[in-house]
Amino acid sequence: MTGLREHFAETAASAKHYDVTEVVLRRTRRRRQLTRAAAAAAAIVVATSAAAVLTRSPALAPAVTEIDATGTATPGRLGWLPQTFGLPGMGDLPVLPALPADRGVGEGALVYRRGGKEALLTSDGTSYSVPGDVRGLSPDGRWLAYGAGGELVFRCLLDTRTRRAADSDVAGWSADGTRAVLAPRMPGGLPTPVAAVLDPADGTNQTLPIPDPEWWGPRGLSPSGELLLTPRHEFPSTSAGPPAPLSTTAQPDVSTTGLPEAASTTEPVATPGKLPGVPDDLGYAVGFVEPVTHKSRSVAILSARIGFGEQSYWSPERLAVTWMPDRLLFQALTTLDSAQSLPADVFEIDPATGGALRRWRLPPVTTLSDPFRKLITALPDGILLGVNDGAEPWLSKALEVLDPVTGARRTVLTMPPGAEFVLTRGGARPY
Amino acid sequence: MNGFDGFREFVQAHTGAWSRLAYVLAGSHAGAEDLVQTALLKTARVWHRVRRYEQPEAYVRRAMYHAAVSQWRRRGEWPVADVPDRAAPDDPIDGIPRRMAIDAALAQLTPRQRAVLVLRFYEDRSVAEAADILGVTVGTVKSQTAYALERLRVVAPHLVELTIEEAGR
Repeated sequence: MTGLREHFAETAASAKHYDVTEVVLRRTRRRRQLTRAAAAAAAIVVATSAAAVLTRSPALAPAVTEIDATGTATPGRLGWLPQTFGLPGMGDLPVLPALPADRGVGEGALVYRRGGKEALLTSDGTSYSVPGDVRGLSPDGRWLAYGAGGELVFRCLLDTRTRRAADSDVAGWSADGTRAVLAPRMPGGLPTPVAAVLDPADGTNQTLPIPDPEWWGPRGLSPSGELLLTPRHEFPSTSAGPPAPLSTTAQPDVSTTGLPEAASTTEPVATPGKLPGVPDDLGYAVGFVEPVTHKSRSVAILSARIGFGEQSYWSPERLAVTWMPDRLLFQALTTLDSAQSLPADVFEIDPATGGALRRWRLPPVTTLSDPFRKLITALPDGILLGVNDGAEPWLSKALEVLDPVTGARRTVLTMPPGAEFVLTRGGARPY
Repeated sequence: MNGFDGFREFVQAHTGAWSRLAYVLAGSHAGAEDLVQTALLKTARVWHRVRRYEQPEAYVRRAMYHAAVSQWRRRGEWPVADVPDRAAPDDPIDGIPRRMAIDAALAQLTPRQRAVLVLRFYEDRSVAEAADILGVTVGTVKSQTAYALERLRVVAPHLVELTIEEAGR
């Protein structure tokens, strides 16, 4: 008889000796050097800027604008989002009306889950059960995407139109919200080698290749129509560890050159299908695929250049990446003393250079009991954040809108007890 | 003084135990190495503080668990669900398929469910200790344990006596 204890013990006995000491030390030293170099560079910029002011010279490149968003949220309202919504009793769950096939229901506002079932909340506060698993709600609230019968179904909420596509996840939306970026579901959960860009209104679509799909996944479209990619994994160090399979374009050896002058690798890569990334101890990267030529490029967002400390980092994991309107928004993670990682400040990134333009300092998270905020998307109303109550399993209990100019936050929705937030306009579901 | 004084010795003293834990958690050598490296990178960044802890090795183990179950990790980032790459040499004739079946069943669990089982049945941690390490409530550990064992029963009905036996302990 082999019990779990015995099985785990046998498994443990088969482990190798994973000696990563030197890799860890090398990467940590390099990160520390870069952090210090960034601090020194910032000091030089400040000193030079002061001198420039004194001599009435043109100002140097602007530094990151920090915006304090740590104040108490005040009540607020969005025109398309009910401030809260009523729920029928649990016993009444089966009577939640189904999404009608013969008429429109009005723009969608929110998707929530209750009793294991997903429901759509429209802007007028009506709830409908959804005939499948919801995979996206367009930024304008017109299109609801859900999976049903082995297909992806787009349902126009203003009328009765539907558009069907191969079974796919909705990886993101175009900046104007009219097109969806689809990641076809692959057998065995394999990474998708292509992304499809679909206009659900007229059915026009385009399939774009993903260079190195093992390492990159689709996330949306840029305002100019390029396919936006984000890493699926942390890229290994270029100096140690597993070989970086993407780096046919040489990465700058920042450990020897100090702070790199240029963070962007904007030249088309030499070998089609290969797109370099950035080791996670140095930063993050986004990729782009040009829709006509299919040429790809990547832009490095180096932690040291945007003032990350040792406990902050980007993550390739599923955090929101969005546009406002032509800048990228990212959310950093911070490592707590407990070794847990939680979302932290939001950054606005110039997609051409990888440099940070603005940083919104959100209320600090120092323990697992502190509520934290997850970046959902940027809408014309502001930056949309999901807020939990600091309790496991850390579901969003409220939505806040952050004013990008003042940093003021407004609570625009409070989830009623018993309802779990799934997604809202412009939000995409992890895939 | 380079800020890493004692780090190398600290790691060398514990790598064996961490490697075994990582392999049980990840189910593959690549995933296990990734876990160890992730945990040690976190530790090295704050080594100046962790070195003063009463049990600095506990920080690394905790970091490993959090890396394993992190809700921010995307599906498939490391191969919990990979086909285990463990060989099964010299087993009794009926032991090989049985162990493979258990490996396959464990690979069907979520990372958190697997972590809970590892804490309870590999490390023999109490429910309270497991909850503290994972940063969740005692109730969550209990429910995740129950879910995990139930799921093992579903995906591997022939292991029913195994899971009943473990649940009863």
